[in-house]
Amino acid sequence: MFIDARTLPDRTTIEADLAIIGGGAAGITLARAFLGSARKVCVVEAGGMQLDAEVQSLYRGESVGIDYPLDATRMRFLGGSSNHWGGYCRPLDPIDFEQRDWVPYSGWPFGIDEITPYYPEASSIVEVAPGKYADVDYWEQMTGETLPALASGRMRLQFVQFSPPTKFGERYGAELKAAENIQVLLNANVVNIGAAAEGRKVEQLAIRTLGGRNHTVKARYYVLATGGLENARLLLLSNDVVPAGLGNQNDLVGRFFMEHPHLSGFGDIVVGDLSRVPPLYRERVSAGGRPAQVAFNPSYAFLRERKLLNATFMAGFSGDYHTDEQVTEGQTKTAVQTDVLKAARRFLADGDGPVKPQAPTYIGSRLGLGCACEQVPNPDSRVSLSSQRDALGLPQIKLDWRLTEQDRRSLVTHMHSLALEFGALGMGRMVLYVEDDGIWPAHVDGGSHHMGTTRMHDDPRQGVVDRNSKVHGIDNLYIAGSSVFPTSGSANPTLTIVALTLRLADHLRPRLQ
Amino acid sequence: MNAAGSRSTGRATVQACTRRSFLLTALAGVLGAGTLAACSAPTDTGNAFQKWSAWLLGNNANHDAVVRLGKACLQAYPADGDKHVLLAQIDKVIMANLEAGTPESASLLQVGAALERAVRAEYADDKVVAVAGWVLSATEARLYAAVALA
Repeated sequence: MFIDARTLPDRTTIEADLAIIGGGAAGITLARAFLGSARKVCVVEAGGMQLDAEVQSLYRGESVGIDYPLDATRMRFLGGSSNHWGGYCRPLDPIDFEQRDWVPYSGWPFGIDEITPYYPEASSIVEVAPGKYADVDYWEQMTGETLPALASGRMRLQFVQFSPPTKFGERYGAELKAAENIQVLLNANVVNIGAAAEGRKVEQLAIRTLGGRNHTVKARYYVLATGGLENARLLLLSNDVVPAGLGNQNDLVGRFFMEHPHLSGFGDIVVGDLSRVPPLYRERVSAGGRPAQVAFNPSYAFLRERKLLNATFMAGFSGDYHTDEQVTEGQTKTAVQTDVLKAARRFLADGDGPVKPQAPTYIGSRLGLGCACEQVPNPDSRVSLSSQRDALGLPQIKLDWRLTEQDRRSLVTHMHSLALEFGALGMGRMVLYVEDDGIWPAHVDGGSHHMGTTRMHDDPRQGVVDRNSKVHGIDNLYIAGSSVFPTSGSANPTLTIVALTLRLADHLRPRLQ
Repeated sequence: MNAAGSRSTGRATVQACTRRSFLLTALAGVLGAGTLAACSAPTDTGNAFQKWSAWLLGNNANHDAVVRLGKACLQAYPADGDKHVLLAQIDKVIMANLEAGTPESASLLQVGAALERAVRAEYADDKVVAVAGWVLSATEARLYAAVALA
């Protein structure tokens, strides 16, 4: 059932067994896990069924570190940020879960084996093929392509699958609406997570609409699932009982904010004969109706040997070169790249004639490059509360996103590795446009991946939630989503968010009996 | 982005000439220091040069483009402008990668195949240099530089 909180009489109280704050990928996945059960579930969604500028403006805030568009990187209506999701799917890597001596604060409370059983169902929920993310044979069979093995030992092939993308509100909204045991409360902003004295138990959620109506949701268990930025903000805002904010007795809530630093335009690869580069290496290829593309990831051995962070690179066709492109006095990028192709011709193409007899001036193609990298968990990279207030009268979010030299150094090394792999396969030559000068390029960007702000750790002094995603010190409050990631890996987080949420559902199910 | 090559210290184990040579920049930090004088002495490589340059400039490759890239290599690593040393090093690489015979006796295609093998292996082994942002194998850069000096 859908209920618009704006239409309820003021000071309505809704009771449920499980209250889920947030109707995004995590919240909807969790609610669906209880479809048809005897347990009453209330999903509290701050937005409505579609984007509304006034509602969306509640996501504005202050960015005081690396410039970050706080309201453009998430969406406040049913389906949450899945409404602008790019659909990239890949599990985290086993090494991402390890405590690595060269990565401060690394290590999950468990290994990937704990999540692996949930990835197939998570894949199904986001509408991609289960379990085929590292299976070269499978993709060779499905596409009929031969995928040359990488030669340097530095990198390995992974396969990103693309969800349609699944917009959770659109895709699963009807199910929730029809479910007798699920209420979705729309346009309902949680303004306080109300804890009992001493803060050991949550008693109620205070709800406020933009029109000024106040309601209450009471439940036995509560799950905070509003994304990696808002999860921290809501805990910090809920400071009426615990002055530092709920779960923040050790000053960890909001700290360790991580993104996947993205750099576009950091380099190009020139290719003399595109047929030497399998399509899967450079574009999305449909296999059985499911699009996939190769991701170039550092090998575990290389990460360990060089003590590096994880990263993901992808290449994409971005244009052709022809012999009539001359080097000009200004030496434009294209002209210089053409020159390199002309010089390296012998190493990049077979035969003595034109590569494409039907296009005699064609001498090669350009592949653009994209990357998403792991960053070191950093307590100084953090979410806190701003002195500015939003339309509900609450402190806005303040984000101080920071990157380190270790992050940059790692990325530069992996860029170099990619150049080696394409050279070793005789596919192309790579040029890098970022200077290795110890400074992060100004155009570093994020991937709208908000992670780490309520990190998971068995020790309450080192984490906000325990291995079951329960907030340390609070008996009935859990957190879903990438805010619990202690480290980020380099895979897009949505698939893992869904998998972790399924695991959380398994944990909660017996407790709700 | 010079450090793209110079910071890479992984798999280089073969050549032991000079840390300063651009041809071995990628090996910095791994190999012992040396000098150009410690390299194999220049030999009469005229025949081999004719052969490999004919191969390099075949298949629609462009001489002017090779020269421009060669000059860029020399500009990036001005200490490595001794043509005789370059030719000797190239000869050595061809010799090491020929399946049979010598650079003088091998056919154009055999020499080309040897160079292609060598260049691919150098990428795999991180024996590369950085030239105006480009990541090039050390031997590949030598070839362009030697043509530019010819």
